[in-house]
Formats: sequence, structure tokens, C-alpha cells
Amino acid sequence: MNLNKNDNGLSSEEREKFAGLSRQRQPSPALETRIISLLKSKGLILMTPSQRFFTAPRLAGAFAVIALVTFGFSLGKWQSPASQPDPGLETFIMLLHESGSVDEHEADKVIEYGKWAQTIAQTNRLRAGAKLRYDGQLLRRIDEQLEARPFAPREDSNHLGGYFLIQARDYDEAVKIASSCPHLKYGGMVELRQIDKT
Amino acid sequence: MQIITEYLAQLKDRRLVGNFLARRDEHSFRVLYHRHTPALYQLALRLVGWNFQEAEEIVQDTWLRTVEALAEFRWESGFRTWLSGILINRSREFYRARKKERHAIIADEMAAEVAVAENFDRIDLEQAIAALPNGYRQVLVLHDIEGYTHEEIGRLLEIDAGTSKSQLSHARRAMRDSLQAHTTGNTMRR
Repeated sequence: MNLNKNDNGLSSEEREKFAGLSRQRQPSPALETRIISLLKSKGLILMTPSQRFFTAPRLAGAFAVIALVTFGFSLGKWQSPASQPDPGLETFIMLLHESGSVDEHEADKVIEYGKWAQTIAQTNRLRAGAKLRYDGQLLRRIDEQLEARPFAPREDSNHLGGYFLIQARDYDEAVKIASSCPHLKYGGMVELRQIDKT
Repeated sequence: MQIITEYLAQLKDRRLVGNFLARRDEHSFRVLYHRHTPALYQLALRLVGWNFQEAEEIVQDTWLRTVEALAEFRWESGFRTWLSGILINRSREFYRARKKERHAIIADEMAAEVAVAENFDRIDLEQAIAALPNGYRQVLVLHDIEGYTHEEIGRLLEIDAGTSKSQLSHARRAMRDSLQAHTTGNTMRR
């Protein structure tokens, strides 16, 4: 580097060297986790209902529930002939709408949903089912520009919490199956829609 | 062109901050974090003389303070400028708490990391800056690398603009002496 000892302004070469220094550097990934954890502990980032649910002391219980539900779904999926679509039956989707509030019976509810799914699977009527995460992305196209923005349901609004894909002869049977879902008992709403084969 | 770029960046920051304030959710925060943290971390590293642990602590405190005060931010400056101001204040408090002047020496790990991406001229320059006394280093980093004016530095560091100019003059001289000594040493060793 050309040192400019007499004039205390920067020489052009010095300016160039300064301009060439990096402006960005990535910290360790652990820093991000640490900061988010601290912000949550201070209440500056709100935890979603699902995150609150999966905090101690419910965590151990929640893991047991997940294991049970997974087992329930797996049992239905792999042991039931209904895992193969029956071409003689219509397919319906049950969209489970719920509010964001979490009650103290949440763990019991999840177990009950798992047992219900297992029962439906045993009658060869269950095709699939899943609980949805609370966070997501909303995508739309505005003036030919794709906009993707983060989506997180408000606690006081209804949102999609999960779904079941079932098979039935017709709407009457589908309604009968859906009406036995424990989601209704707990104040949730089930939107039942037939899959259009065309 | 620069003004347009800054204006668009400012618009995007306003939208992202608005998203976060509306939801207070983790995802919105992560978007802001990834947008600004690499620049904040680089600035923190230079201000503390490439001590990685201290730089991360300062960045962490900067984000905590930022989120605490975010709702009160009036957008009278750019969001990055505001963040940098908080970070600079935090780094000053950091040194004040330790009540000692640190003549930072770039660690071997830093030299190794920088060497991967940058040429040796730049390593020499970073080392010379890092070895400056704290007051000199802050002014030189803010003025010659970050582009702040002496008036802005004066406000950020709570010193007169004249003191900032004087510190910068001393800092540049010390940096050049350090580089000259390094160059001479290298020549003599050859």
C-alpha cells in the first residue's frame, strides 16, 4: 500500500483498500437461536399456540402424545386396506378449522383425534391425515410480481389446523363419518368437501 | 442511483418492521435478522478488534434493545443507521464496563478465517486497524470504512466533531506507522 505520511487525508490507493474491505460477515448460527430464545423469554416475540403447547412442563407429555398419534396413523395407514384408494368410493377432505386458543385439555384432544383416526382407518375409510404447522407463507401475484409474505394466524381468528382425507360412498356417509370427529366436540369446525374427479 | 437504492431499502425495512410489529412472530424477526446482522456483526468485529465472542455479545444486545424500542422508532433515520447507532453505543458501554483500554490483537483464528476470502493486503490493513487504541479505532472504522461524517460520529460517541477529526488524524498516522513497520519487517526477513 502506498503510504501517505505527509498528507493526513487518504490517498486514492488507501481509499481503494478501505473500499475493498468486507462489509458483511456471518456470525455463528447459534447466535440467531440465542437471540430468538431471549426475545421469547422477554415476551418480545410471541410464541404460537403450538409453541406454547410444546413448552415444559407439557413437553414430555406432548412427546408421548405424538408417539401415540403417529402410531395410530401408522396403524391405520399400513394395516388398513383403505390405504389403497377404493375406486368405488368417493374421496372427501375434512378441513379442520380451529381458533388459536389453547386449552388445558389439548393433550387429551390430540390422543382422542388419534384414536378416532385409527377407528376410521379400521373401516377402510381413512386415506390420510395431518396436523398443520402454525407458520407459513401466503403467495399471490400482483401486477405480474410474485409476492410471498409470512403468514401466522392470529390467536383470536379461525384458521386451518389440520385435515383428514376420507373415502365414502356419498356425501351422507361422509357427513356421518365427519360428524363423529372429536374436533366438533371441542368447538372446532369441520369443512367437508368432495374431491372433484374431473 | 445510490439515493434510489437507499430509498427502496428503506421502504423494504418499513414493510418488514411493520410485519414484525403486527405479528410479533419468529418468522418476521428472522427476516429482519438475516437482512441486517451480517453488516452489524462485521461492524462489531472491527469495533472490538476482532474478538468474536465480544462481537456476538454486542450484536445480541443490539437486537434485544432494538426490538424493545422498535415500536417507538420514528424513521427519522434509516433502519440500518439506527441499528448501527445502538450497536456503537453498546460497544462503548462494553468497554466502559471493563474499565480498560484494550489493544486488540487479531487472533490467529481471525487471520486464518480472513485469509480464506481476502488477500494479504487486506489482512495487514485489518490487523493495523485492530491494533489501534480503542478511541482511534472507533473513529477510523466509522469514518473511513462506514462513511459517517465527523458530526455524526460526534453524536454517536458523545465527543466534539473536532475531537473526532483529531482522533482520525492520529488513527491514520498510527495505522500507517503500523503498516510501514510491518512492510519493513517483512522486507528485512526476506
